[in-house]
Amino acid sequence: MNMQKKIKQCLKAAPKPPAPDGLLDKLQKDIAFREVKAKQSVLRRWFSPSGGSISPRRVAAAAVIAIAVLLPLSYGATKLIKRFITISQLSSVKVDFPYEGASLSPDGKHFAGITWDDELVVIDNSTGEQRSLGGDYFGPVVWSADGSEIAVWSYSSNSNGKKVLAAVSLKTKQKRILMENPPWLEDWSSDGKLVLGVRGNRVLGTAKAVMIDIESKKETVLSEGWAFPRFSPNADKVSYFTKEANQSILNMRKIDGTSHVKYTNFPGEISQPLWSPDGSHIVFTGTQKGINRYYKDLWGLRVQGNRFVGKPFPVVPDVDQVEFYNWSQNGQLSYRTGFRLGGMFTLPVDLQTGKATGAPRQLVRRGSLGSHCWSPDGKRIAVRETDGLSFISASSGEKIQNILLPDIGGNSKYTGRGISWSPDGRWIAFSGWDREKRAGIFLTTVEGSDVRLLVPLEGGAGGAVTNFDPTWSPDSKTIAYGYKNNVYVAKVEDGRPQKITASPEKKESNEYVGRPVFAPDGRSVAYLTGQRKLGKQMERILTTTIDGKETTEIFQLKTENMTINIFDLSPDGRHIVFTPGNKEIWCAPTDGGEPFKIGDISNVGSNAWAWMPKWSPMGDAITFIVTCEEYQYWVMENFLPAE
Amino acid sequence: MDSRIKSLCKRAGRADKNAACELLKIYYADIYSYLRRLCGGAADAEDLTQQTFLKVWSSLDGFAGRSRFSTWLYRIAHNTYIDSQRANAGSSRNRSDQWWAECIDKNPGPFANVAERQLARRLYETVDQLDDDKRHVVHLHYYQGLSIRETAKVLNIATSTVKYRLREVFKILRIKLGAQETSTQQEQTIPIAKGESL
Repeated sequence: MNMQKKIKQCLKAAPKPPAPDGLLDKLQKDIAFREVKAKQSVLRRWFSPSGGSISPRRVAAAAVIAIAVLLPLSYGATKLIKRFITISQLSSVKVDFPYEGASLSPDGKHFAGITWDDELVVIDNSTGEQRSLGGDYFGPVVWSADGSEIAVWSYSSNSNGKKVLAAVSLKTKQKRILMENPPWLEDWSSDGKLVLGVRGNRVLGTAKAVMIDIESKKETVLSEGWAFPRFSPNADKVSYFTKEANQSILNMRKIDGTSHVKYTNFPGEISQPLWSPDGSHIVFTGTQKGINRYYKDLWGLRVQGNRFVGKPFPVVPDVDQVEFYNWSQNGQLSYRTGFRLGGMFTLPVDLQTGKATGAPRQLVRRGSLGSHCWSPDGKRIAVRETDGLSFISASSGEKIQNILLPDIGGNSKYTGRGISWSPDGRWIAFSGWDREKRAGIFLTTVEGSDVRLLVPLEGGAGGAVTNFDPTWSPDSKTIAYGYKNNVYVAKVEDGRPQKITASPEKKESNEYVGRPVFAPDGRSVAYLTGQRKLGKQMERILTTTIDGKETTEIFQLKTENMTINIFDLSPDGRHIVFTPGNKEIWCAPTDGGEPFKIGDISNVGSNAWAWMPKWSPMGDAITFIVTCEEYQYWVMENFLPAE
Repeated sequence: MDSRIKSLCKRAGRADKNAACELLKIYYADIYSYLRRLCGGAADAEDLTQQTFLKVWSSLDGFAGRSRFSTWLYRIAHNTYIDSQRANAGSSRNRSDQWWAECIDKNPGPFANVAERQLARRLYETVDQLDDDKRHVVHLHYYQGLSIRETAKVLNIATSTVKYRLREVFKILRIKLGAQETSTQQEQTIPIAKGESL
């Protein structure tokens, strides 16, 4: 018998405490009722309020009310009845589709997506039968209008192995190439001739929504940015969203470009516009800012011909944790809900030995938590948010304060990795972008009153690579950071950078260097280095003096199949804590001793992983971030209000 | 709802004391055992059972019969327990008492050998140490034998939440009981985490 069954059996067979003698007598004596009221029917009370004979006047009044009020209302009632929302879970979906693209077939009978193992899987929603259509697929999936094929990214089978857009047959699993050099797939027209997608340029950090004719390869640029373009059901129009002068705009244009209308009055951010199967509505998610939080709801807007009709109306409230997929021809809108089980955890440790003195405890429950750092007094933790910083209590996890940094963030949701609180308590350094799209190391006072770009650096596409990991020297005068495979230091007074690691030509090929942490003595900076090699990764933590002259190895990872994902130094510099990128937290002495495991988060969830460990200034605790989401797949139908 | 219970409820709702006595005889032992396991002390459980039934009699005419009478009753007992916990928020109370141990030793029941009895004792102690949300679903669903739906109604949460909490409970119990069962799922890691690029 397996453990689970045994536990269930034991729980069901739990002994029952017998009731003590005399309890029944005591309870029987307690029986007492409220005064029982004689109940009259509502109608009787209306026709005869005094309890006597029925009043003819009241009967007449009731007849008038029935004809003048109730009958017209009943027409409204039938309209209401028409809108009988059905929401049901696709409980047959037992696998995780981690990427954005899973999709319901046009007849609603199948659900397809890409698994963690890059397998294209189709699930029969009624039987739960799971079919693999093959591996090496990735990105979003889009069904053909007749449901016989699925468009998805793949690699060409010839020797160049380039990325292609393929149509995979549901019946035969055969794939045919639709186009080479495809954009990020967004939609496939019902006649199968056009594709909508987004092309990103990593160098320029830009993205543009495009429409491509598969046969002629003609490419039409619809807009700048990730516009979420979608074809109308008969593929004569396309919808997408744009941002102009800080206003979110819903666009609808004919595919031949002869008509283009915009809805410009929505008071919030528009995203994910989707067409109803009959083309009469577009629904979209609208995010609006409240006092303390953002509200994300599903909105609808009527469409007639080539124009929008009326104003957007709320359809489903509070869809914060919802990722919408597609609105299939059978009227079902498919979506995924994520249950966020991760957040920030804290692990008590002994500074002398580096050993854990208790189990990890959840401090903050939240998804998508980014970089964080301790205040010098160890009482607060600063967390980098998309729109600024938040401060939480290090003991209770309670949010103490939010600071908005309106010039920081730009349009990117990605904040960049790395935040560090100066030991004198005055400044917080972080990596990121500002509204003018300048990337680099920023400094802000703890109150957020003074924000400045200390070291301008080159960022990646769309704010994707701003993992500069700034770290303060103990005297609060210098910052070290990682940039383009090197470690630099910069004085706060002038921001002039100085490289302290070896030049690229002196490094071995495939060597990577980064994630610096200032050593407690202030004379050197510790950082991670390793080589990307198949099979074996030799990772080391080195320290280099801030003049770049002397380099010492303080730790070498000898365990195979383990990597150092992120690390931090203890306040006395005698230990490092690191996360290998799984469920474990490890510690190692910096004098050459063996590493040992100090924490494990296996009980959080099967998909959980821990990262970003930070040692508290007092050395008695380590915080780390746990990323974990569990998904459920649902459909809803008949959710639009009646006409 | 069972037609006999339904009729007893109806009569008790009209202040029929005999019907109320009948209902009491049917349910008092279950309610007492539920509260006894939660409180960890006999005197507290007795008090709370009394309070529960006092509330039942005073609000029986408001029982609309939309759920089973037993579900309604458990909900009142549960709320009574929660209220008492709030009232005694400052005082530290040891949930786990010696009753489990004594009871298993006296009545081994299905726990035939010593190892199984030890496992059962550790299991019940571990359940007692779970956080309140998880502990309540175990008590109602397994100890009291309520269905998932009834458990959800008593706790005023969704059935999916009950199922989720039960899954979490099993994860915790398996780990705490030192199960050697290492499923492949637990070993699974997120690929991007393994080799996150610099």
